[in-house]
Amino acid sequence: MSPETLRDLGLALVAASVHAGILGIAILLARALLGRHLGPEWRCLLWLLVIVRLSWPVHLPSPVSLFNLTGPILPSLNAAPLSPANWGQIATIWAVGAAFLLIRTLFGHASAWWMIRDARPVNSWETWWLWEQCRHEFGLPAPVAMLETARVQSPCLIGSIRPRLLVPPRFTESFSAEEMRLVFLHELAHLRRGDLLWNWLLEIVRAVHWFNPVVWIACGKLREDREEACDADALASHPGSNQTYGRTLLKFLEIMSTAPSRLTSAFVGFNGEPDAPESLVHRVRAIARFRIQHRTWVVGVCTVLAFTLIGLTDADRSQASSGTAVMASQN
Amino acid sequence: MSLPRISETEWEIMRIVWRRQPITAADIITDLQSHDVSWHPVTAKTLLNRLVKKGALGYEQQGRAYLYSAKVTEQDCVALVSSSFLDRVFGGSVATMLAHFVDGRKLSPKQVRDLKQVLEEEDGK
Repeated sequence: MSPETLRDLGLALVAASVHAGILGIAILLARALLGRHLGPEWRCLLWLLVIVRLSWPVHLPSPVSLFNLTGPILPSLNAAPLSPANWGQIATIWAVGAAFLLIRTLFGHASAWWMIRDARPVNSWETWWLWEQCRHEFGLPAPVAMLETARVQSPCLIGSIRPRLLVPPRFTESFSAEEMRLVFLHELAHLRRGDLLWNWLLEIVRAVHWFNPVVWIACGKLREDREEACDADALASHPGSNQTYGRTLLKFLEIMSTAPSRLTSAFVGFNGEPDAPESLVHRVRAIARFRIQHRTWVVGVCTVLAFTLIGLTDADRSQASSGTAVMASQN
Repeated sequence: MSLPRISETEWEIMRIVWRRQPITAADIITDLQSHDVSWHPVTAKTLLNRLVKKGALGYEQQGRAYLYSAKVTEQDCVALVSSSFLDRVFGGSVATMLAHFVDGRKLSPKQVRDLKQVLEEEDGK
């Protein structure tokens, strides 16, 4: 690949990343300002805009674009004093980083499947029936197997093509039917949203844009908001179960804090007695406060539309670029 | 307390014990053979002795039969399976492709109490 092509590709990638980064920061601000008025499902959509922006192929200059406020991005990058050799080095570093992350994801996923190879179908007929009922309630036609394995401590879904639900051992004995129902609804909400497929996109995007911290933050926030959106879906179909739902979540946390397991990501606090992680506090509070009548769409729709307009368009520099052309022709 | 390393085949036996302890050797063998006819009673007995030596199983005599029970919990053993360097590097990525109900965390009792408080604060509002 010629150095010029590398440079062009590299610039395009970095430019897309910078645009997405700026959009991400704007969304973080909006999120902070709007607070509770912006529901989790709408916050997810906003983060998806960032992901879309990363691979946005179309150039749409517009006076309303957010990027009218920033300096010219691509020309600034173009002006950087980098020789073709530099671009070769940069490309190599980027490729190593991206490859490492992609391999890590694939290996991790293969590991997960390997670890559950001995998972057995849950042998409680009532639990099966409950799962099927919930599945029909959420309008999901394809049957989803439910397997029991000691490798998980909280129920989770695995597989994007033929998903399976994994439950920890003695799940049926430790939780009441109502508690199980709520957990099932949360997981089915993930299925309904196609989250297992989105995971692939997120991992690829994070691998390609590994150098951009805003992308990492956006992916993290998206996952958090996603959990809250699924909580909201589950609670919406069973209004009034806030406390039961919250207590079920805490029950799992208590169980997990007494035994290690591999299909989870451990969080260990080091500094004395730290407070509970902010994301969990946010999630529990949202569960406790959820009211079906508060689930409005006006703020959400307006915010998403606004950010689509200002985020997916580009700076309108028709005046500036004609000025540059004149200057170039004079030299 | 150090946990014993359990091989794949020994794992099969441990699973049966965890499910049905206390259990005699004969019952374990019957269970193994119901899933896989090629299990030989002699092999099973050898593995049982090995597991007892490792400290994973204990036994008590009842009349003429020995009843085996597990001396370690399933959860503890699961954690021990492979903690190599590769694992530490790639382990974090195992969970990213899944969709959990609650992502695995080890919280301190204080942290769990904090969350309980948050939940109860909103109750009755």
